[in-house]
Amino acid sequence: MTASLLQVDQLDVAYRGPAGAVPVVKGVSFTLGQEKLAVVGESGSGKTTVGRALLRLLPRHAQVSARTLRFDGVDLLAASDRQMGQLRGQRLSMIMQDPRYSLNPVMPVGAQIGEAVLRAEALGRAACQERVEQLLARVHIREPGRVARQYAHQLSGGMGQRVMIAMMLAQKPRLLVADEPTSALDVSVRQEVLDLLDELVAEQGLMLLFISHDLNLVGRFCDRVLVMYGGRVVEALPAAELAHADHPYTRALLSAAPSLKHRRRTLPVLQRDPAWSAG
Amino acid sequence: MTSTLAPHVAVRGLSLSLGDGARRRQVLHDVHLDIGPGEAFGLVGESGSGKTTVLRCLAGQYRHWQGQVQIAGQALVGGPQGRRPGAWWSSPDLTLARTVQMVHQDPYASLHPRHTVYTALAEPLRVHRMDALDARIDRVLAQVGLPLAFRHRYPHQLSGGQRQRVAIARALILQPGLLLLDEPTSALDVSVQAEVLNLLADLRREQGLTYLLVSHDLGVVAHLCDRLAVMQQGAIVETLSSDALCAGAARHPYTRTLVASADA
Repeated sequence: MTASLLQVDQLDVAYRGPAGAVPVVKGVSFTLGQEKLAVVGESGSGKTTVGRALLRLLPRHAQVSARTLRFDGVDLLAASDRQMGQLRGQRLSMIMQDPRYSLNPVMPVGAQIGEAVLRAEALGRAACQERVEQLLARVHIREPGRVARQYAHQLSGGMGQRVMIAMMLAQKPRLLVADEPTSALDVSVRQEVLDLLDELVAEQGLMLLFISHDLNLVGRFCDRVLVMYGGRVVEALPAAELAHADHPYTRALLSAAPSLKHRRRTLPVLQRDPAWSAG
Repeated sequence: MTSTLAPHVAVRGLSLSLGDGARRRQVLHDVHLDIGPGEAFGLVGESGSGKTTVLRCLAGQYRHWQGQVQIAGQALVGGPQGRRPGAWWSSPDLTLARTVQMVHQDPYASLHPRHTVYTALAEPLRVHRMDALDARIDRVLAQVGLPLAFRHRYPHQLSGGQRQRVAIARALILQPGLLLLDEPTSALDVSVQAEVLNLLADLRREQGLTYLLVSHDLGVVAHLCDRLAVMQQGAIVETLSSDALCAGAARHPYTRTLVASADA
């Protein structure tokens, strides 16, 4: 593994509320180099909160603390808002689950990609437009000139997600946090988006933090897997060894999905153990 | 297929167009389905392939379709007459509601946020002027595996899996023979999905219900259903048994693509 650019040690996140602080992420530690790391868990396990904490995109009432939260030499907890603004997009980037909600509905998608392009370099109108079309072609969109003039509602889910990736590529991020990037897509389109991410990791040396609820999918796609339950990482292992996972929670998640290859009359139901989240 | 009995659901040449004038588009093309009594039948396909639209036609939400639809031996009226209010069976919608009920995809959106479980379950009983509300509600809560104390809870006090159990209870309370299940587990975590799928399988066994399940997840369909149809662009391209699907006997190239991406 190459040197890890991202170091996370003992990350805690709690939300302040009327009844005191509610911890949602408890003592999460990991490092990330040039690889595809998956964070997997059920809804409410804290996986998205970890991703957002890295970009400091959590709401104001979130209390974030960590022994170390360092990206490429920058202390993400101590960085000023101005420094974070420079990091976000240019070095650290994020794509969300559903392109229909993360694209601006009243602006052609080309213009939205253009905004990201102009943030990265000062270009004239024509040069900017040309760069936008290059980026759309880079994410395998066949008619970039036509698609650039379209609005979010005119695009399919897979096209929308490619536009989000093109926008991210307008600058040259090192780390991409992808929060359920394929969950809103049909199975046939899902593989195309995964292949595209794979290509970018290989060609541009992108580090990928892949947040997902689908353990079987990340087992095929990622290099390493962190399994979260109740705000903690209960197991960390190479994706290739998922089939031999130790933790009962990981094993239960793997066996709960109905499969075409192993058919069962009754699906095994997860018996939750309070000790898992007490760590 | 249960060939000795008349089908519980018979759909012949179902076609539907939406929009007017130049924007008119045909969204269903000549759909044929035969579902036996007590059978679970799956419809799979991508978003936009028309699978939910078929459910909406059977549930009476679209009425201007062409073709023939019979549910439990009674014909539904489609076409121009179907559009006119009052031409819908003898007593509008009520008979249909006792025959067919639907469970929707997202239990966070399908339950009224300011109605308790009791209110949600009592409403169909009141509309249908049924007696013994409390006894019926207790019975249906027990059937879906929820504690009786939950009848006073609001949806926000329930987890996603519990909400979907309430949605199933609401569909079952009028004791319909046919349940239309529109992606009933796709908004749920995989562990919770397993619980809901087990519940649906048990209910069908115990009560002899007929299911028409729509899902994009071949694994879910093969687990719950005896047979399935694959839809693409508003038409059925292949109908086969789940056993044949799992044995790799799918013939249509599109079905094979779906199998490959599901089990990759």
